[in-house]
This record gives sequence, structure tokens and C-alpha cells, in this order.
Amino acid sequence: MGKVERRSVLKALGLASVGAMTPTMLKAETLKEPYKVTEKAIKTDILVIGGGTAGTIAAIQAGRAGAKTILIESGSQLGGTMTTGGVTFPGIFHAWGKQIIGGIGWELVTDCVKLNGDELPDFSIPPDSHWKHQVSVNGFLYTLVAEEKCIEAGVNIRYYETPTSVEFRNGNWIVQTTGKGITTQITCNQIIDCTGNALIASMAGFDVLKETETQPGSLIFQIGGYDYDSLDLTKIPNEYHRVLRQNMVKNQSRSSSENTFVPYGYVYVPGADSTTAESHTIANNDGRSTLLNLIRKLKTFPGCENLKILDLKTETAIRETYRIDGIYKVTQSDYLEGKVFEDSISNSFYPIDLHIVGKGIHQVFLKPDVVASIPLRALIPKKSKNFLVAGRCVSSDRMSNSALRVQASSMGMGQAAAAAAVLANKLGVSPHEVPIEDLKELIRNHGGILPLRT
Amino acid sequence: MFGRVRMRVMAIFNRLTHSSLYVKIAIVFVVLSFVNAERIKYFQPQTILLQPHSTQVFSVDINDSISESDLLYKVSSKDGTPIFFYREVFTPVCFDNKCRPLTINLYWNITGRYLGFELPEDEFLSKTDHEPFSVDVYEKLNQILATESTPLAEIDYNQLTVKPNSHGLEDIDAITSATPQNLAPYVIEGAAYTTFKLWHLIHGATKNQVQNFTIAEISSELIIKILESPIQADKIWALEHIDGYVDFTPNLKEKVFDLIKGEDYIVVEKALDAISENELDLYDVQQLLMKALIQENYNVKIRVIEKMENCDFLKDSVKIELVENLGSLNGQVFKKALSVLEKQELTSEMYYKIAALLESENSFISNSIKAFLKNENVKEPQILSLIKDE
Repeated sequence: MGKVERRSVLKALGLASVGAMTPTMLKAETLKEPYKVTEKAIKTDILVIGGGTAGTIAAIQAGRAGAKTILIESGSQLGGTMTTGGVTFPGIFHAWGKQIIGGIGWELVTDCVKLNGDELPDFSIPPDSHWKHQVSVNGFLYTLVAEEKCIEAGVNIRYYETPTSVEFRNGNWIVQTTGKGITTQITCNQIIDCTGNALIASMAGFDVLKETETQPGSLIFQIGGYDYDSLDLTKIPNEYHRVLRQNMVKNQSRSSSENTFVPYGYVYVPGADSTTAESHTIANNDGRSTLLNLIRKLKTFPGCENLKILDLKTETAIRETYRIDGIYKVTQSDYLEGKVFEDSISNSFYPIDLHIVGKGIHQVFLKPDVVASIPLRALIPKKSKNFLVAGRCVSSDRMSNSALRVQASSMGMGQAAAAAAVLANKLGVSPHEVPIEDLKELIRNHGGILPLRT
Repeated sequence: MFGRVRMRVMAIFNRLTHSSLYVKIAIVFVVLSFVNAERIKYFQPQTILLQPHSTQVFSVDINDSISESDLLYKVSSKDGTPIFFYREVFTPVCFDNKCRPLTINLYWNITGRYLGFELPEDEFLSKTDHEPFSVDVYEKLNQILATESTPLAEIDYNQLTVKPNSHGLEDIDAITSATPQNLAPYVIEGAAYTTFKLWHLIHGATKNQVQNFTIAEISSELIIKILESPIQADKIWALEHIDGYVDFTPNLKEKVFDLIKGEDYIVVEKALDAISENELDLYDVQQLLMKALIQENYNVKIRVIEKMENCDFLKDSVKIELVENLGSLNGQVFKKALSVLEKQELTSEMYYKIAALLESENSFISNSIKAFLKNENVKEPQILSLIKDE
């Protein structure tokens, strides 16, 4: 081996001596141009805004169906409530001994379960508590797998960007976004608003609705450093028993398929709203301050002196903000009766589940064999063109929304909305003009499970 | 009256056999007395629809809240196919410091699934205030007993009432303490302890005993009969007792592949699990899987292609069929089909067929094909020029 060759090998291995490297390092410093925001203009078929529970699935579906797709996410990772919010317990994909939501959402969940060596509950036996059929997912894996699948599907992911304006011009949407060091003008044919807050629908001038009082958000955390079984609960006020029991470390790592606890703890954040940077900051401040006070309080109880906080999710997860005023509004009776519409494109199964601070959870359960459904019209704002939503901002009354908002249902909506957008783009029409049977076929061909008319 | 006499005889028989270390089997052909219009009885769908012909009685180790051992009756058809099992139960249920007997026959399907209950002639169930059960209440009880996942499984007697009773007796149908709200849907109001006791008898040790008896005489013919049951739980039980239990005969194979269709994906998955690794090497199994991959819907396809990922060597004609159908596959099924092909030795002709998909309008398809061909290290010049990075 000659001298030059040896050196290049050593360099490649990172073994070059410090002495040899130093002159280069000294010369590496250069004067850079002052910071400036660059401008960019790009075109795409479909723009998905929001990389959360619904948006991730929508983007993958659009990409796999061959549409040029951009996904904007204002944060740094995909998954939203599943990952950043920490609700790593999506549900519900099965009802009454049958799978009712499949497709890309189920694929992501099962890929994570397999990769993590976890087990799935026995879905053939309807559980006595609905949450026992939610699936525990490793949130870190979900982040990684979701991103991989987006990239495989050819989706152009753009983190740290958020829209500042949207305008419909000559049959296309012009969306202006801003992000770290960049402003982008995105021209697209179809928009899918997966912000959860109907933010883009509102920016585009479509009507959105909000309750005077909304459900609280949740800040997810994990604590340990104590043995619940050894605690003298008579010396600890009742209101703290649940949080201590649910947050024990041993309850978070499951060795069997059966859920015996919801695998995370949370504090409520009243009025939490993630629509703007300011409102979401307040929600995070409130949640963190409540949690800190809780930790301080818990540490005063006998046996909890060494209690430690082991995990805290990045931001407060949100249950309820804005909903669109859609072509159709799903009602509580539609939901509880399991009404199937001509244009039902996805299922939903969860109890009416309204969280009220200080009063617990108002729940109404679906009767045996009832599965609710979501019509395409509930994903389309009135008077809109080339525009869809997916996720919790679906057009629905408050009670049905409290059930529709959950993750599996949002994933189903994401996939269906993307299929509608793909066809609309291909046919040069608005989503509500897409031939419904063609849409159903496309959804079915990508694993979506369509509601059955009885 | 006959029922009570028979029960006493059986109790004596039970005591006689109790001391044995081994399960003693006595074969008693009796006139089947369980069909009696006068009696109160409620049943679930039967797994095996054959006519009862003979009954065998077994003394078995039960070790439940009633006794350590008891008699278990197996009812079979004329050709010897087991149809169902039953047990004659006589146990005290106590309330208000008084105990009264509960006399009831409990029935199980051969898969261990709850089949039903029957009361002896002139017997009826009543609540703590001696109010007899109405038809609605019997029907509710029948449904409660058929429900496998219930909070009753995880609680003990003391949790059946809001306040623990002060009698020191376990078997209490308390009249003064209310049933906790969360348990109310799972018990008969005013007969919580009776419900609890019956549920645990049905879903306790006897269920396992029944399943063990069935497993002891399991055959591919019996599995086929169980698979014909309209009840999903029976199908799943049968499918879980193929690999390692019975021969995968042509008839059974046909039956299993019949289940790899339709929209009951839980059954589809179990049916695929029933196909052993060894079977996967067989040409007809590979062909049947290919047929399902082509004809069934996405949610079946994805499970089939995941099964095919376990095939080390696909037969040539199956490989060709998979290659020729690649373009009709979508999403993750398409990706997984490529990963199946990755493990196989492919011919130049196959590579050319795969390379044709580079022209797909769907960039997800064309990009995936490009990545696949690059990874395969193909030598074909025309393909190399197509996958060359620009």
C-alpha cells in the first residue's frame, strides 16, 4: 500500500491524526452571507396540511395512488396525537368480532406492533370495556415507520412549515407557507386540511364552528420510582389513587395482548386549543404547570418520596376545537344508529365520549352490532371546491364528534379523503363530484373497509 | 322427579369415583332426557348439528367452587362424533343467612363454548325476593353466560355488592347491598351471586376439560365439521387446532382455503395461520395462495402475501404468476410482493416482465420497481439502461 493510498484509507476511517487534521480545521471557518429567507415556488397535485393522525395516512394514500403529493407539518415529526401528543393507544379498528377499519392506518399500527414484538388483543371476543381493543403502539417506532412509508410513497414532506394564506385561482389552490428560513408558494389542485382545527378551511373562507366550552386537552406523562402495591392508600387522598396506579412503570410495559390499564397518564388542560401558536403555547404552559404541581403534591405522600417523572410528551394533545360546516353534518343519532349513507366511505366505532373537567366522561355506547359510518359529504365544506378535510374537524355535531375524533376513525377518514382527492385531481372535478362507486373501489383497492348497508 | 333421582345416583357415583387417581370412564347409554318441553332451557347455537345418539359419562378433575371432581357427560351422534357436553350441577347459593340449592344442567359445545342451561322438571330460578325469573330475565341470563369477556372474570364474590356482606358467607345473593353500577349489565339484578356462580362454572375448569376431551379425539374430519359451524368462535377454535394436531388432508385444505375469502379478516388470518411452514413448500398450497392473492380483496391479499413471505422456494409457475400480476397489486401488497420475489431466484424473462412496470404512470410503482431491480443486481443491458440514475 502506497503512502497516498494509506492516508486516504485512514482518512476514510476517521483515523487521521489530530495533528494532520488541525490545519484543515483551522481553514474551515468562512464568512457566511447574512441570514435571509429564501423563496420557493412548487407545484403538486395534492397538498395535505397537517402530518398528524389523519394527514400522515392521507399523504401515504395519495402518494401510493400515484398523485404528486406534498405534506406540510408545522412540527418536526409525523403522527400528531399518536406521537407528539403521546396517545400511543389508537382505536378502535374492530367492532363486534370484526375488523371495521383497515388500510394504511392499520398497516402502520400492525407494522409497529410486529417490529416492537408486541401482541394484539384477541379481537374475536368483544371486550367488556371498549378501550381493551385499542392497540398499544410504540410511539417512537410510529414516527419512524410513518415517515418511511411517506417517503416510499413519494410524498414530499415539509416540516416546520405552516400556511399563511390560501387562495383558489383558476381551478387550483395557491398556498403560501412560511417556515424556518423559507417561504414557499405551493400550487396544488386539491387540498386536504388535516390540521384538526379546520384551520385551512377557515383561511379559505369556509364556515367553521366551535363550542362555547370545549373538551379539555391532555398532557401525557409517565411517572415511576414508587411501588403502588406497597403504598398505604388510606394515607393518600382518593383523587390521587388513579394517577398513581395508572402511571406505574410496570403497567406501561405490556407482556401480553390484554390491556389492563390505559398505558399512559395525563393531566387535563381545560380549554386547550392548538389552532394558533399563541393558543397552543398557552395549552402547553397550562398543562406543564398543572403537572409540575401534581408531581410536587404526589411526592409528599408516604411511599412516593422518590417519585420521578420519566416521560413527558412534547405538547398538549387536543380533543376539540373547530369543525367544518360540511355538506352533511353527522349527528349523534346517525352515529348511535349506525346510519350508512350512499356516500359512506369509512367506519367509526367508539362510544360518544365527552370529557368534562370535574365531571368525568359522558359516554354513550353503541348497541351490539352497530357501527357508525362517515359520509364523504361530511369531509367537504359547504360551497367549497377542490377541498377536503379529514380528522376531528369532520362536519358533525358535538356529541358525534366526541366519538368520530378518535385515531382509528381519523385514519380511515384520512385514507378516504385522499382517495377522493386523487380521483378529483385525475378527473378535474371537485371531490363531491367524484363518482362514488369509483371512489369506493379505489378505497377498497388500498385496503380501506367500507361501511356495509344492512 | 326422575331428574332428582338421577342426580342422587350420579352423586353417589361421583363419590365412588372420587378417590381414584385416574379419570375413570364409565360408559352409560341412557335415554336422552334433555329434550323435554316441560323444562326451562335456554341455548346458544350448536357447533355440531348432528342428532344425539349416545351419552358417555366421565368422572373428571374439576376443582372448581363446587367440588374437586364431578361427572361430565359427553353426548355423541350415531357415528360417534361428539356433539356436546353437559354437567349436572347441584350447589348451594346463599342469601340472607339462608342457603337454597341451585339445581341446573350446564351445557358446552365441543369447542368449550357455552351452549346453554336446562333446569330439571318443576325447577325454576328466582331472585332474592323469591320472584321467579321471567322469560326476559332467562334470556338475559343466557346472554350473560355466553359472554366471554366480562368483569365477572376478574372479580371475587365480595366485589359483587357495594358493601362487603357481614355474614361471612361467600355464596350470598345479598338483598341489602346493591350491585356496583359497572357490574349491573353483567349480572341479573337480585341474583348477582347466582349469575356469578354460573358464569364461573361455565368459563372455569370444565371448559378446559371439555376442550381436552375434544382434542383427545380430534381428527381432520371433526375439524371440518366444526368449521361448518355458523359461529366465528368455533371456526377460530378449529383453525387453531389444525397445525400440530391433525393431518392437512385435501378436504381440510379445501375447507381452510374456503375461509381465506370474504371479509371476516380475523378468520382469514387464523386460516392462514393454520397452514404450516412445511405445507408452504407444496405446489398446490402455493397455487391456492396465488389464487387468493389475485382474486380476493386487499385485506385478504395483504395477509396472503405476508404468508407467502415465509415461502423459501416458490415453484416456477407461481413465481411467473406473481410477476405477471404485480401490476395489479397496490400499496403495501405490492411492496410485499416485491419482497417475496427478492428471496427467489428469478429468470431474465421475469426481470423483463418486472421492468415493464418502470413505465407505470404511478410513480410509487415505478420508483419501487427501480429500487427493486437495482437491488437485484440485474445484468440485462436493456434493464440496466432503464434503471441508470440520470
